[in-house]
Amino acid sequence: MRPFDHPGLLYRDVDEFLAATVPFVRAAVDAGDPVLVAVPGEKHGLIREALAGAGDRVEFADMAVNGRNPGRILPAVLLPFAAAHPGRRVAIVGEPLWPGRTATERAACAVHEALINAAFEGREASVLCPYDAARLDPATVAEAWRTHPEMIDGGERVPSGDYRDPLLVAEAVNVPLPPPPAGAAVLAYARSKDLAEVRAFVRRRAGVLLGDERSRELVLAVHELATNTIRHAGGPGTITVWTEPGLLVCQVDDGGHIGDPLAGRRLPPPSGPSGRGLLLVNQLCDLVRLRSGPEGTSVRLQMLLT
Amino acid sequence: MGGLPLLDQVTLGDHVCWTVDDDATRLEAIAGFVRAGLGARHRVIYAGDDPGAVLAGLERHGIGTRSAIDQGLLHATTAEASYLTGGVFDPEATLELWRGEIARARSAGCPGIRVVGDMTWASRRVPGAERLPWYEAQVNTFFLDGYVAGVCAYDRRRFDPLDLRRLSWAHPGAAATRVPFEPGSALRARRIRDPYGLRLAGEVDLSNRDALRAVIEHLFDEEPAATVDVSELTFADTAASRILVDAAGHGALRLVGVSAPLRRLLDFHGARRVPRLTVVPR
Repeated sequence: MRPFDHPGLLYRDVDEFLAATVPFVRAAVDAGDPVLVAVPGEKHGLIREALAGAGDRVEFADMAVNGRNPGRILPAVLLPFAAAHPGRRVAIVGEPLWPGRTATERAACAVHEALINAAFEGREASVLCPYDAARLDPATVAEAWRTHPEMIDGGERVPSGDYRDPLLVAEAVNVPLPPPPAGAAVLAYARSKDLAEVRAFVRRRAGVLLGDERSRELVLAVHELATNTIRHAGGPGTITVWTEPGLLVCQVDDGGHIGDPLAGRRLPPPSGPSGRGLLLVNQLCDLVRLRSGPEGTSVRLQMLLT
Repeated sequence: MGGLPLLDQVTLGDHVCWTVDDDATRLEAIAGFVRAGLGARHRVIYAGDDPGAVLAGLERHGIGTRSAIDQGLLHATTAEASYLTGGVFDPEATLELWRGEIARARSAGCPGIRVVGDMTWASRRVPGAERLPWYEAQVNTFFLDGYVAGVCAYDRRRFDPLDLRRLSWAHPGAAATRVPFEPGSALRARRIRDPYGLRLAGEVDLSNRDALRAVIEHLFDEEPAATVDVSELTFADTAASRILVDAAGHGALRLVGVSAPLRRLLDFHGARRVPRLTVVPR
């Protein structure tokens, strides 16, 4: 068995991108391994064309859609693909970052990249992560060196001197959340009978901005987090809502501590009790940032305004 | 006097956990509940500590208790003669007692029953009281026919907050001193006969999840297949939708009137892979 392989790829133009990704995909196809190419949709055509006929044996996912929230790339894209091919080595091209990702999204991507190492530890898989080194800022490229055990740079594969234990890296790249603005609306809750008010509070603030469907999704996400507080943290908690350019932001704070760094990113067991709240939140929201420690937990949710 | 009308919205079929912490508010709300019941010719039962004092209090609120008792409409009894016959709390015996009470009222042609249970007895470490959460969940099946309204009064000053929390989760609805019972945020479950099953309305979350679990648990008691109409269910969270998906493990389940958000939650729990589950969109 070959160990889990998770190289980062620094490319500076389309040729460099294809020169690394296409042989990676082709080799896996030739070996009979299932292949998933999860990159922004605009690149699907490029790769398909370069692969010629072999492209038919490859599954594609649009990272700009499925991976809009980096927190759901593992549970909704990478892990289900691996689980659909039990006992097989899978090969995945995963590009979660692209120019235009905001600072908050970049931080969430770095956490995701670090956690791939933990989620796939001991599994038969190769995940190649391309980074557009010509257009991404140097700090983002530096993060890639921290979250990948090996890097491909200028066509050469080298071990990363900056790579450390995945969980420590995930912790280190999970930068603190800037405080909510002073004018944000705040609601405190403590008991299960407060949940109806929690939902009404979010609904009032989200309804007009997000429209029916998306506001229902945010209401459900916040409800699930508040339910976790009451069940597991023993309450109380607070909900803070505000807007930022292009975004509705909602933060749930409580005194609990989420010890599992992969919480909300694992595939749910087929049966068993609840504990899927965070997983659902990752699926519902456009971005989820989670910071947890002995002093408490903050979960920040972002919804894009349309 | 002049407080919030806490229990005015309670109707036949509702089972409400009412956390009280002040005696004047408590009596006023009981008086309102009793008055509405007597006005509708419902049989009204108070079971709990100090029935004499409660009757006297109702008189002060202008309710002619004497004539109501004489007409067989009002009955005030002690905890010892209701929940604690035999000196201990025996949930099965208590359920049996209520079953008999319902049968008697029905055969007398009475249009409905309203019960106020003062649960203070359970704070006194009575043997069997640890099974009260189970009892409160099971008793929900008695409300499915829309014939009984029940208000369980729990004195916040007498109960451990954690115990109270678990007890309240077994009730489909809740009220507290400054929080009236609000049907919109409660769960209303009613039996349907054609097709056989249940109709759910309102909202299900952590506050009433155990009540939903209990009525769903008994869904296949009478038939191997059932329909649950969720078209009036305005909110269900992940755990609630999980209960619905898991129900199909016990019988053939048809969920009708499923909204798009609920559909998504059902799918999240793998509904499409459950063989005996049919999901019919709204």
